[in-house]
Amino acid sequence: MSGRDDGMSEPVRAEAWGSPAVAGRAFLVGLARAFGGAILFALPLFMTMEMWSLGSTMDELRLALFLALVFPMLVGLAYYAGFEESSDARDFVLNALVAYAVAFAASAAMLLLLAVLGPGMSVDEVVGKTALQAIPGSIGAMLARSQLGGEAEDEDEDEERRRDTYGGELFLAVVGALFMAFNVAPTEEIVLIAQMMTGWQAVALVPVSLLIMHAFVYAVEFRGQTALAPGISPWSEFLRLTVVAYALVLLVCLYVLWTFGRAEGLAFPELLIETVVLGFPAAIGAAAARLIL
Amino acid sequence: MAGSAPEVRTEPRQIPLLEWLVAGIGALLVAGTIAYLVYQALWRDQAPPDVRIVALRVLALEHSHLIEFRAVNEGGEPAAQLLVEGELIGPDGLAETAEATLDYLPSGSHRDGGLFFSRDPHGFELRLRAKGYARP
Repeated sequence: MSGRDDGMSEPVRAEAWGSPAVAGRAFLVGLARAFGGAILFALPLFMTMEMWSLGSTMDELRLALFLALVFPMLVGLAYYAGFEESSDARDFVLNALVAYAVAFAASAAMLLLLAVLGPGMSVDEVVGKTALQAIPGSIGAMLARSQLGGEAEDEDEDEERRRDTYGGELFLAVVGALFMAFNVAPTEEIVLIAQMMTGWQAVALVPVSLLIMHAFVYAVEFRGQTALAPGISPWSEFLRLTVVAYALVLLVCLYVLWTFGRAEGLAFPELLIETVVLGFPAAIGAAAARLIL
Repeated sequence: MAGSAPEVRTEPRQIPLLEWLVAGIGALLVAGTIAYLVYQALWRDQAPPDVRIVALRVLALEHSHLIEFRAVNEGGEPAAQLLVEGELIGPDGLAETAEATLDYLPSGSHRDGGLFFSRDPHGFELRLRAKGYARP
Protein backbone atom coordinates (compact mmCIF):
# COMPACT_ATOMS: atom_id res chain seq x y z
CA MET A 1 0.00 0.00 0.00
CA SER A 2 1.27 3.43 -0.86
CA GLY A 3 0.49 4.65 2.61
CA ARG A 4 1.32 8.33 2.85
CA ASP A 5 -0.47 9.69 5.87
CA ASP A 6 -1.30 13.32 5.40
CA GLY A 7 -1.02 13.98 9.09
CA MET A 8 -4.72 14.12 9.75
CA SER A 9 -5.29 11.39 12.24
CA GLU A 10 -7.72 13.14 14.54
CA PRO A 11 -11.37 12.52 13.58
CA VAL A 12 -10.84 9.59 11.29
CA ARG A 13 -14.47 8.94 10.46
CA ALA A 14 -15.07 12.11 8.54
CA GLU A 15 -12.21 11.97 6.05
CA ALA A 16 -11.94 8.22 6.16
CA TRP A 17 -11.92 7.80 2.42
CA GLY A 18 -9.64 10.71 1.78
CA SER A 19 -6.35 9.29 2.94
CA PRO A 20 -4.91 6.22 1.23
CA ALA A 21 -3.53 4.77 4.46
CA VAL A 22 -6.82 5.01 6.28
CA ALA A 23 -8.73 3.73 3.27
CA GLY A 24 -6.34 0.80 3.01
CA ARG A 25 -6.77 -0.08 6.64
CA ALA A 26 -10.53 0.23 6.40
CA PHE A 27 -10.42 -2.09 3.41
CA LEU A 28 -8.48 -4.70 5.38
CA VAL A 29 -11.00 -4.51 8.19
CA GLY A 30 -13.77 -4.92 5.63
CA LEU A 31 -11.93 -7.88 4.14
CA ALA A 32 -11.65 -9.60 7.51
CA ARG A 33 -15.35 -9.05 8.09
CA ALA A 34 -16.12 -10.42 4.67
CA PHE A 35 -14.17 -13.60 5.50
CA GLY A 36 -16.16 -13.91 8.69
CA GLY A 37 -19.39 -13.43 6.78
CA ALA A 38 -18.46 -15.93 4.09
CA ILE A 39 -17.66 -18.61 6.66
CA LEU A 40 -20.70 -17.84 8.79
CA PHE A 41 -23.16 -17.97 5.91
CA ALA A 42 -21.68 -20.99 4.19
CA LEU A 43 -20.82 -23.08 7.25
CA PRO A 44 -23.93 -25.29 7.24
CA LEU A 45 -23.26 -26.03 3.57
CA PHE A 46 -19.56 -26.72 4.11
CA MET A 47 -20.77 -29.51 6.38
CA THR A 48 -23.52 -30.87 4.13
CA MET A 49 -22.65 -34.11 2.42
CA GLU A 50 -24.86 -33.57 -0.62
CA MET A 51 -23.01 -30.36 -1.38
CA TRP A 52 -19.71 -32.20 -1.65
CA SER A 53 -20.95 -34.56 -4.31
CA LEU A 54 -23.08 -31.95 -6.07
CA GLY A 55 -19.92 -29.95 -6.67
CA SER A 56 -18.70 -32.60 -9.04
CA THR A 57 -21.87 -34.31 -10.23
CA MET A 58 -24.02 -31.35 -11.14
CA ASP A 59 -24.19 -30.18 -14.71
CA GLU A 60 -21.17 -27.93 -15.39
CA LEU A 61 -23.12 -25.51 -17.55
CA ARG A 62 -25.74 -25.03 -14.86
CA LEU A 63 -23.07 -24.35 -12.28
CA ALA A 64 -21.37 -21.90 -14.66
CA LEU A 65 -24.70 -20.17 -15.28
CA PHE A 66 -25.33 -19.96 -11.56
CA LEU A 67 -21.91 -18.41 -10.94
CA ALA A 68 -22.54 -15.92 -13.73
CA LEU A 69 -26.00 -14.99 -12.46
CA VAL A 70 -24.80 -14.49 -8.92
CA PHE A 71 -22.49 -11.73 -10.11
CA PRO A 72 -25.18 -9.16 -11.02
CA MET A 73 -26.95 -10.21 -7.84
CA LEU A 74 -23.85 -9.37 -5.79
CA VAL A 75 -23.57 -6.03 -7.57
CA GLY A 76 -27.20 -5.37 -6.68
CA LEU A 77 -26.56 -6.44 -3.12
CA ALA A 78 -23.62 -4.02 -2.93
CA TYR A 79 -26.01 -1.32 -4.06
CA TYR A 80 -28.67 -2.17 -1.49
CA ALA A 81 -26.63 -3.43 1.45
CA GLY A 82 -23.01 -2.71 0.58
CA PHE A 83 -19.93 -4.53 1.71
CA GLU A 84 -18.18 -1.20 2.06
CA GLU A 85 -19.38 2.31 1.87
CA SER A 86 -19.77 2.72 -1.81
CA SER A 87 -20.94 5.49 -3.96
CA ASP A 88 -20.79 4.64 -7.64
CA ALA A 89 -21.24 1.77 -10.05
CA ARG A 90 -17.50 1.09 -10.16
CA ASP A 91 -17.55 0.57 -6.40
CA PHE A 92 -20.45 -1.85 -6.56
CA VAL A 93 -18.71 -3.97 -9.18
CA LEU A 94 -15.45 -3.90 -7.23
CA ASN A 95 -17.28 -4.94 -4.07
CA ALA A 96 -18.93 -7.83 -5.85
CA LEU A 97 -15.57 -9.04 -7.19
CA VAL A 98 -13.95 -8.73 -3.78
CA ALA A 99 -16.82 -10.75 -2.29
CA TYR A 100 -16.18 -13.46 -4.89
CA ALA A 101 -12.45 -13.50 -4.16
CA VAL A 102 -13.07 -13.76 -0.43
CA ALA A 103 -15.70 -16.47 -0.92
CA PHE A 104 -13.44 -18.62 -3.11
CA ALA A 105 -10.59 -18.29 -0.62
CA ALA A 106 -12.85 -19.04 2.35
CA SER A 107 -14.44 -21.97 0.54
CA ALA A 108 -11.12 -23.55 -0.45
CA ALA A 109 -9.65 -23.01 3.00
CA MET A 110 -12.64 -24.45 4.86
CA LEU A 111 -13.03 -27.45 2.56
CA LEU A 112 -9.33 -28.24 2.95
CA LEU A 113 -9.55 -27.87 6.71
CA LEU A 114 -12.63 -30.11 6.86
CA ALA A 115 -10.90 -32.70 4.65
CA VAL A 116 -13.57 -32.39 1.98
CA LEU A 117 -10.78 -31.48 -0.41
CA GLY A 118 -7.81 -33.77 -0.26
CA PRO A 119 -5.31 -35.77 -2.20
CA GLY A 120 -6.62 -38.04 -4.92
CA MET A 121 -9.10 -35.53 -6.28
CA SER A 122 -9.08 -34.40 -9.86
CA VAL A 123 -9.05 -30.73 -10.85
CA ASP A 124 -12.71 -30.98 -11.91
CA GLU A 125 -13.72 -32.16 -8.51
CA VAL A 126 -11.77 -29.47 -6.66
CA VAL A 127 -13.03 -26.68 -8.94
CA GLY A 128 -16.64 -27.83 -8.75
CA LYS A 129 -16.69 -28.21 -4.98
CA THR A 130 -14.93 -24.93 -4.30
CA ALA A 131 -17.00 -22.91 -6.79
CA LEU A 132 -20.32 -24.28 -5.58
CA GLN A 133 -19.55 -23.49 -1.94
CA ALA A 134 -18.26 -20.06 -2.90
CA ILE A 135 -21.76 -18.98 -3.96
CA PRO A 136 -23.36 -18.83 -0.50
CA GLY A 137 -20.03 -17.57 0.81
CA SER A 138 -20.06 -14.63 -1.56
CA ILE A 139 -23.51 -13.62 -0.35
CA GLY A 140 -22.23 -13.88 3.22
CA ALA A 141 -19.14 -11.83 2.38
CA MET A 142 -21.32 -9.16 0.85
CA LEU A 143 -23.68 -9.02 3.80
CA ALA A 144 -20.91 -9.10 6.37
CA ARG A 145 -20.63 -5.37 6.46
CA SER A 146 -24.25 -4.76 7.15
CA GLN A 147 -24.47 -7.63 9.65
CA LEU A 148 -21.13 -7.78 11.41
CA GLY A 149 -20.13 -4.16 10.98
CA GLY A 150 -19.77 -2.05 14.07
CA GLU A 151 -21.62 0.88 12.59
CA ALA A 152 -24.90 -0.96 12.18
CA GLU A 153 -26.55 1.75 14.25
CA ASP A 154 -26.09 4.66 11.94
CA GLU A 155 -27.31 2.99 8.79
CA ASP A 156 -26.48 4.79 5.64
CA GLU A 157 -29.49 6.86 4.74
CA ASP A 158 -28.74 6.40 1.08
CA GLU A 159 -28.87 2.63 1.41
CA GLU A 160 -32.01 2.85 3.45
CA ARG A 161 -33.71 4.96 0.82
CA ARG A 162 -32.63 2.67 -2.03
CA ARG A 163 -33.95 -0.36 -0.19
CA ASP A 164 -37.31 1.11 0.52
CA THR A 165 -38.25 1.23 -3.14
CA TYR A 166 -40.57 -1.43 -4.49
CA GLY A 167 -37.81 -2.86 -6.67
CA GLY A 168 -35.43 -2.87 -3.73
CA GLU A 169 -37.83 -4.80 -1.54
CA LEU A 170 -38.45 -7.40 -4.22
CA PHE A 171 -34.73 -7.68 -4.97
CA LEU A 172 -33.91 -8.37 -1.33
CA ALA A 173 -36.74 -10.89 -1.21
CA VAL A 174 -35.20 -12.75 -4.15
CA VAL A 175 -31.76 -12.75 -2.52
CA GLY A 176 -33.20 -14.03 0.76
CA ALA A 177 -35.17 -16.70 -1.05
CA LEU A 178 -32.17 -17.80 -3.09
CA PHE A 179 -29.98 -18.04 -0.04
CA MET A 180 -32.47 -20.11 1.95
CA ALA A 181 -33.37 -22.30 -1.02
CA PHE A 182 -29.68 -22.88 -1.66
CA ASN A 183 -29.23 -24.02 1.93
CA VAL A 184 -32.05 -26.53 1.86
CA ALA A 185 -32.33 -27.68 -1.76
CA PRO A 186 -29.21 -29.90 -1.86
CA THR A 187 -30.48 -32.17 0.90
CA GLU A 188 -32.38 -35.38 0.27
CA GLU A 189 -34.99 -34.26 2.74
CA ILE A 190 -36.72 -31.91 0.32
CA VAL A 191 -37.42 -34.78 -2.06
CA LEU A 192 -38.43 -37.00 0.85
CA ILE A 193 -40.78 -34.44 2.40
CA ALA A 194 -42.42 -33.83 -0.97
CA GLN A 195 -43.02 -37.57 -1.26
CA MET A 196 -44.35 -37.96 2.27
CA MET A 197 -46.79 -35.07 2.03
CA THR A 198 -50.36 -35.62 1.04
CA GLY A 199 -51.94 -33.31 -1.48
CA TRP A 200 -53.80 -31.43 1.26
CA GLN A 201 -50.65 -30.76 3.20
CA ALA A 202 -49.07 -29.31 0.09
CA VAL A 203 -52.13 -27.16 -0.46
CA ALA A 204 -51.96 -25.95 3.14
CA LEU A 205 -48.30 -25.04 2.81
CA VAL A 206 -49.07 -22.26 0.31
CA PRO A 207 -51.32 -20.09 2.54
CA VAL A 208 -49.08 -20.79 5.53
CA SER A 209 -46.05 -19.55 3.56
CA LEU A 210 -47.98 -16.46 2.48
CA LEU A 211 -49.20 -15.78 5.99
CA ILE A 212 -45.73 -15.99 7.50
CA MET A 213 -44.32 -13.79 4.76
CA HIS A 214 -46.98 -11.22 5.37
CA ALA A 215 -46.40 -11.34 9.12
CA PHE A 216 -42.79 -10.40 8.43
CA VAL A 217 -43.91 -7.34 6.50
CA TYR A 218 -45.60 -6.17 9.67
CA ALA A 219 -42.59 -7.10 11.75
CA VAL A 220 -40.51 -4.85 9.54
CA GLU A 221 -43.02 -2.15 10.09
CA PHE A 222 -42.80 -2.54 13.86
CA ARG A 223 -39.10 -2.04 13.57
CA GLY A 224 -40.06 1.38 12.32
CA GLN A 225 -38.56 1.08 8.87
CA THR A 226 -41.30 0.97 6.33
CA ALA A 227 -44.36 2.49 7.79
CA LEU A 228 -47.27 1.90 5.49
CA ALA A 229 -48.14 5.05 3.67
CA PRO A 230 -51.53 6.24 4.91
CA GLY A 231 -54.33 5.34 2.56
CA ILE A 232 -52.78 2.06 1.42
CA SER A 233 -55.05 -0.78 2.48
CA PRO A 234 -53.52 -3.92 4.00
CA TRP A 235 -54.98 -5.89 1.10
CA SER A 236 -53.15 -3.80 -1.41
CA GLU A 237 -49.94 -4.35 0.57
CA PHE A 238 -50.64 -8.08 0.61
CA LEU A 239 -51.21 -8.28 -3.13
CA ARG A 240 -48.55 -5.81 -4.11
CA LEU A 241 -45.75 -7.11 -1.93
CA THR A 242 -46.41 -10.50 -0.35
CA VAL A 243 -48.07 -12.26 -3.25
CA VAL A 244 -45.60 -10.91 -5.80
CA ALA A 245 -42.69 -11.82 -3.55
CA TYR A 246 -44.09 -15.34 -3.08
CA ALA A 247 -44.41 -15.79 -6.82
CA LEU A 248 -40.77 -14.75 -7.18
CA VAL A 249 -39.85 -17.15 -4.37
CA LEU A 250 -41.43 -20.06 -6.24
CA LEU A 251 -39.57 -19.13 -9.42
CA VAL A 252 -36.30 -18.96 -7.49
CA CYS A 253 -37.03 -22.39 -6.00
CA LEU A 254 -37.76 -23.85 -9.40
CA TYR A 255 -34.49 -22.43 -10.69
CA VAL A 256 -32.51 -23.78 -7.75
CA LEU A 257 -34.10 -27.25 -8.10
CA TRP A 258 -33.25 -27.25 -11.79
CA THR A 259 -29.69 -26.12 -11.10
CA PHE A 260 -29.10 -28.92 -8.60
CA GLY A 261 -30.67 -31.47 -10.90
CA ARG A 262 -33.46 -32.11 -8.42
CA ALA A 263 -36.12 -31.55 -11.07
CA GLU A 264 -34.88 -34.33 -13.32
CA GLY A 265 -37.27 -37.12 -14.12
CA LEU A 266 -40.10 -35.66 -12.07
CA ALA A 267 -43.69 -35.52 -13.23
CA PHE A 268 -45.21 -32.05 -13.09
CA PRO A 269 -47.30 -32.57 -9.91
CA GLU A 270 -44.25 -33.88 -8.01
CA LEU A 271 -42.15 -31.00 -9.25
CA LEU A 272 -44.81 -28.55 -8.12
CA ILE A 273 -45.01 -30.05 -4.64
CA GLU A 274 -41.23 -30.04 -4.37
CA THR A 275 -41.21 -26.37 -5.36
CA VAL A 276 -43.83 -25.51 -2.75
CA VAL A 277 -41.93 -27.46 -0.08
CA LEU A 278 -38.70 -25.66 -0.92
CA GLY A 279 -40.74 -22.47 -1.20
CA PHE A 280 -41.59 -22.61 2.49
CA PRO A 281 -38.09 -21.95 3.87
CA ALA A 282 -37.35 -19.74 0.86
CA ALA A 283 -40.42 -17.61 1.62
CA ILE A 284 -39.22 -17.11 5.17
CA GLY A 285 -35.78 -16.24 3.83
CA ALA A 286 -37.32 -13.73 1.46
CA ALA A 287 -39.37 -12.12 4.19
CA ALA A 288 -36.58 -12.11 6.74
CA ALA A 289 -34.07 -10.61 4.30
CA ARG A 290 -35.90 -7.33 4.48
CA LEU A 291 -35.89 -7.49 8.25
CA ILE A 292 -32.24 -8.41 8.64
CA LEU A 293 -30.66 -6.17 6.01
CA MET B 1 -8.44 16.07 1.02
CA ALA B 2 -9.47 17.93 4.09
CA GLY B 3 -13.24 17.62 3.93
CA SER B 4 -14.54 17.49 7.47
CA ALA B 5 -18.25 17.48 6.75
CA PRO B 6 -20.05 14.13 6.68
CA GLU B 7 -20.96 14.74 3.04
CA VAL B 8 -17.42 13.70 2.16
CA ARG B 9 -18.84 10.28 1.42
CA THR B 10 -20.52 11.50 -1.73
CA GLU B 11 -17.13 12.29 -3.26
CA PRO B 12 -15.62 9.42 -5.19
CA ARG B 13 -13.57 7.60 -2.59
CA GLN B 14 -9.98 6.64 -3.09
CA ILE B 15 -9.68 2.97 -3.80
CA PRO B 16 -6.70 1.32 -2.13
CA LEU B 17 -4.35 -0.59 -4.41
CA LEU B 18 -5.05 -3.71 -2.35
CA GLU B 19 -8.75 -3.50 -3.17
CA TRP B 20 -8.01 -3.39 -6.89
CA LEU B 21 -5.77 -6.41 -6.40
CA VAL B 22 -8.34 -8.46 -4.48
CA ALA B 23 -11.08 -7.48 -6.92
CA GLY B 24 -8.80 -8.54 -9.78
CA ILE B 25 -8.25 -11.92 -8.13
CA GLY B 26 -12.01 -12.26 -7.71
CA ALA B 27 -12.60 -11.47 -11.38
CA LEU B 28 -9.96 -13.99 -12.43
CA LEU B 29 -11.38 -16.71 -10.18
CA VAL B 30 -14.94 -16.29 -11.36
CA ALA B 31 -14.13 -15.88 -15.04
CA GLY B 32 -11.62 -18.73 -14.84
CA THR B 33 -14.04 -21.05 -13.09
CA ILE B 34 -16.85 -20.31 -15.53
CA ALA B 35 -14.52 -20.81 -18.50
CA TYR B 36 -13.25 -24.07 -17.05
CA LEU B 37 -16.76 -25.37 -16.36
CA VAL B 38 -17.95 -24.51 -19.86
CA TYR B 39 -14.84 -26.10 -21.35
CA GLN B 40 -15.47 -29.22 -19.28
CA ALA B 41 -19.11 -29.33 -20.32
CA LEU B 42 -18.22 -29.13 -23.98
CA TRP B 43 -15.15 -31.36 -24.13
CA ARG B 44 -15.44 -33.68 -21.18
CA ASP B 45 -15.07 -37.35 -21.79
CA GLN B 46 -18.61 -38.79 -21.59
CA ALA B 47 -17.36 -42.35 -21.26
CA PRO B 48 -18.75 -44.48 -18.42
CA PRO B 49 -16.70 -45.01 -15.27
CA ASP B 50 -13.70 -47.21 -15.96
CA VAL B 51 -12.21 -48.31 -12.68
CA ARG B 52 -8.72 -49.68 -12.25
CA ILE B 53 -7.90 -51.21 -8.87
CA VAL B 54 -4.40 -51.80 -7.64
CA ALA B 55 -3.19 -53.32 -4.40
CA LEU B 56 -1.01 -50.91 -2.45
CA ARG B 57 0.31 -53.19 0.28
CA VAL B 58 -0.46 -56.22 2.38
CA LEU B 59 -0.36 -56.00 6.14
CA ALA B 60 -0.56 -58.75 8.72
CA LEU B 61 -2.77 -57.49 11.55
CA GLU B 62 -3.58 -59.06 14.84
CA HIS B 63 -7.02 -60.27 13.78
CA SER B 64 -6.74 -60.45 10.03
CA HIS B 65 -4.71 -59.69 6.97
CA LEU B 66 -5.31 -56.37 5.30
CA ILE B 67 -4.89 -55.52 1.66
CA GLU B 68 -4.95 -51.82 1.03
CA PHE B 69 -6.09 -50.90 -2.46
CA ARG B 70 -6.49 -47.85 -4.59
CA ALA B 71 -9.38 -47.39 -7.04
CA VAL B 72 -8.72 -45.03 -9.94
CA ASN B 73 -11.56 -43.91 -12.19
CA GLU B 74 -10.13 -43.58 -15.68
CA GLY B 75 -13.51 -43.05 -17.32
CA GLY B 76 -15.34 -39.80 -17.87
CA GLU B 77 -18.33 -40.20 -15.56
CA PRO B 78 -18.31 -40.50 -11.78
CA ALA B 79 -19.34 -43.66 -9.93
CA ALA B 80 -21.22 -43.82 -6.62
CA GLN B 81 -21.40 -46.77 -4.21
CA LEU B 82 -18.64 -48.48 -6.06
CA LEU B 83 -18.37 -52.09 -4.93
CA VAL B 84 -14.82 -53.45 -4.89
CA GLU B 85 -14.18 -57.16 -4.51
CA GLY B 86 -10.97 -59.00 -3.81
CA GLU B 87 -10.50 -62.73 -4.34
CA LEU B 88 -7.77 -64.97 -3.06
CA ILE B 89 -7.26 -67.89 -5.41
CA GLY B 90 -5.22 -70.87 -4.37
CA PRO B 91 -4.23 -74.03 -6.21
CA ASP B 92 -7.64 -75.57 -5.48
CA GLY B 93 -9.64 -72.60 -6.65
CA LEU B 94 -11.29 -69.69 -4.84
CA ALA B 95 -10.18 -69.55 -1.25
CA GLU B 96 -11.71 -66.36 0.10
CA THR B 97 -13.43 -63.15 -0.96
CA ALA B 98 -13.74 -59.75 0.67
CA GLU B 99 -15.49 -56.61 -0.48
CA ALA B 100 -15.64 -52.91 0.25
CA THR B 101 -17.85 -50.07 -0.96
CA LEU B 102 -16.47 -46.69 -1.94
CA ASP B 103 -19.05 -43.93 -1.54
CA TYR B 104 -18.06 -41.86 -4.44
CA LEU B 105 -15.35 -41.92 -7.10
CA PRO B 106 -15.36 -38.99 -9.50
CA SER B 107 -13.75 -39.15 -12.90
CA GLY B 108 -9.98 -38.77 -12.84
CA SER B 109 -9.86 -39.13 -9.07
CA HIS B 110 -8.71 -41.97 -6.87
CA ARG B 111 -9.85 -43.24 -3.48
CA ASP B 112 -8.21 -45.78 -1.18
CA GLY B 113 -9.75 -48.59 0.83
CA GLY B 114 -8.93 -51.88 2.48
CA LEU B 115 -10.01 -55.53 2.30
CA PHE B 116 -9.74 -57.88 5.26
CA PHE B 117 -8.87 -61.54 4.74
CA SER B 118 -8.56 -64.20 7.37
CA ARG B 119 -5.88 -66.02 5.38
CA ASP B 120 -2.45 -64.72 4.62
CA PRO B 121 -2.67 -63.51 1.01
CA HIS B 122 0.94 -64.51 0.38
CA GLY B 123 0.93 -67.70 -1.56
CA PHE B 124 -2.45 -66.93 -3.13
CA GLU B 125 -3.27 -65.22 -6.35
CA LEU B 126 -5.04 -61.92 -5.63
CA ARG B 127 -7.73 -60.65 -7.98
CA LEU B 128 -9.14 -57.18 -7.43
CA ARG B 129 -12.06 -55.86 -9.42
CA ALA B 130 -14.86 -53.33 -9.35
CA LYS B 131 -18.20 -55.14 -9.33
CA GLY B 132 -20.71 -52.35 -9.88
CA TYR B 133 -21.74 -48.80 -9.13
CA ALA B 134 -24.69 -46.45 -9.01
CA ARG B 135 -24.88 -43.38 -11.18
CA PRO B 136 -24.80 -40.43 -8.77
